[in-house]
Amino acid sequence: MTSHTDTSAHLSFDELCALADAPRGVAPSESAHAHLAQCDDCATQLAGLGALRARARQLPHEVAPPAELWAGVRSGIAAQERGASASRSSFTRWRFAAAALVIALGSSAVTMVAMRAREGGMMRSPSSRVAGEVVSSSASGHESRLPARLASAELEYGRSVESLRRTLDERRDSLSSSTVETVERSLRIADEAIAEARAALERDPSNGVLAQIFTSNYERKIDVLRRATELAPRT
Amino acid sequence: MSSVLSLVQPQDAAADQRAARGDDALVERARGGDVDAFELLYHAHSARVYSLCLRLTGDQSQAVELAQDVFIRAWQALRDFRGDASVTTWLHRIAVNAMLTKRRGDRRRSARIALAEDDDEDASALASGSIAAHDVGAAIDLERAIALLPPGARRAFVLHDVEGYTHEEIAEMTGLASGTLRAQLHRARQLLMKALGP
Repeated sequence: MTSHTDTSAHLSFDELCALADAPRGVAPSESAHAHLAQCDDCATQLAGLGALRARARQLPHEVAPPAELWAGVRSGIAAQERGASASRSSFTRWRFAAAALVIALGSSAVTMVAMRAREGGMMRSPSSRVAGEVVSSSASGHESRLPARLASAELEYGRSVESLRRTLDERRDSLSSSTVETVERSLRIADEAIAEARAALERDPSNGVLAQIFTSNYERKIDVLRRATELAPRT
Repeated sequence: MSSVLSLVQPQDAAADQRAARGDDALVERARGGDVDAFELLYHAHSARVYSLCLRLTGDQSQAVELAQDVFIRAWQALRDFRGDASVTTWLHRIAVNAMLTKRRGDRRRSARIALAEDDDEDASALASGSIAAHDVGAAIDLERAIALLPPGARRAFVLHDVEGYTHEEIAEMTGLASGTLRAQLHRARQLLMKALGP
């Protein structure tokens, strides 16, 4: 603030702001009033402050947001809800693992029932035997005598398993040791169920029920792997 | 920023009361997990929240991000809303808090040591008079000048002079001492007056 009069008598900017902010009807002090009456600089500053405040109050208080803002909010809320679910995760993770375990054990039991039923003539294969559908190797590299379509399916399943397994191994560090242990146990059980179904199929390649058990065991193994990789965030 | 400005239609007190009653009912429903009710609240208040976010950040993309954060935080905090302030004031408070949290995070990330609450970033452009008066209208000039204020000064000016909150209300929102807020407000006014000219 410059002055052509007595500088020491000028009102400070804080004092001018206080005057500008004073409620209506509150008069400045006598000394301030006297100074403003004879100092154009301070009076101009005070008028400028008043004008600035008036302009600020006239600015629009509503600005339409972009249309996509609500979609972002909505997805944020959904993510939050999922986060709340994740905070209940020990239950969810164990439930997932337990489900995998039950599925694998159940599959194994169903294999046994199917084999016994077949042996006892209680169940008939919905599919007929296809001549020449015997291959010599499985996805796991073991010698096997599976119908070609199942052997082919097993190769596909093997590729998926390998890919998911690789992803899971990369992200393993982000999972708790107990979760890793449970996943591995579930996978071992799934492998046993697959091996059992394969052995049964090799003895009875035309048994459609066994074929279904065999493929569903693979699918469940893949499901266990997929869900385990989803639990493990990318690092 | 100026291209999206739209003027508000003034409301009378009775309309405000009706709106408040409507808000209360929507808040109650939203508390129960009704996202549709929350969407209605959003539509009722998003323009006021977004305008504040625009002015606090001085940047459109940051404003979108901040406004989104405000409503997500609001959804989380619905149970804490007691109705002793209007929904708009409550949302404004969340916006200010979200802004402060973000700024603190940014500061930590950039490993800057904040010796004062405010800093001089951006002030040079404003102080150098680069916001000369244009023929595009005084309001737009003021908006542009506000956007170039240092963050603390901008926040104080927007909340006090634009939104009309008192120093005490702003102190409550920000957790800053009223002396600090006054200093920031006065600095903002000085910079704006210099930039905008007589």
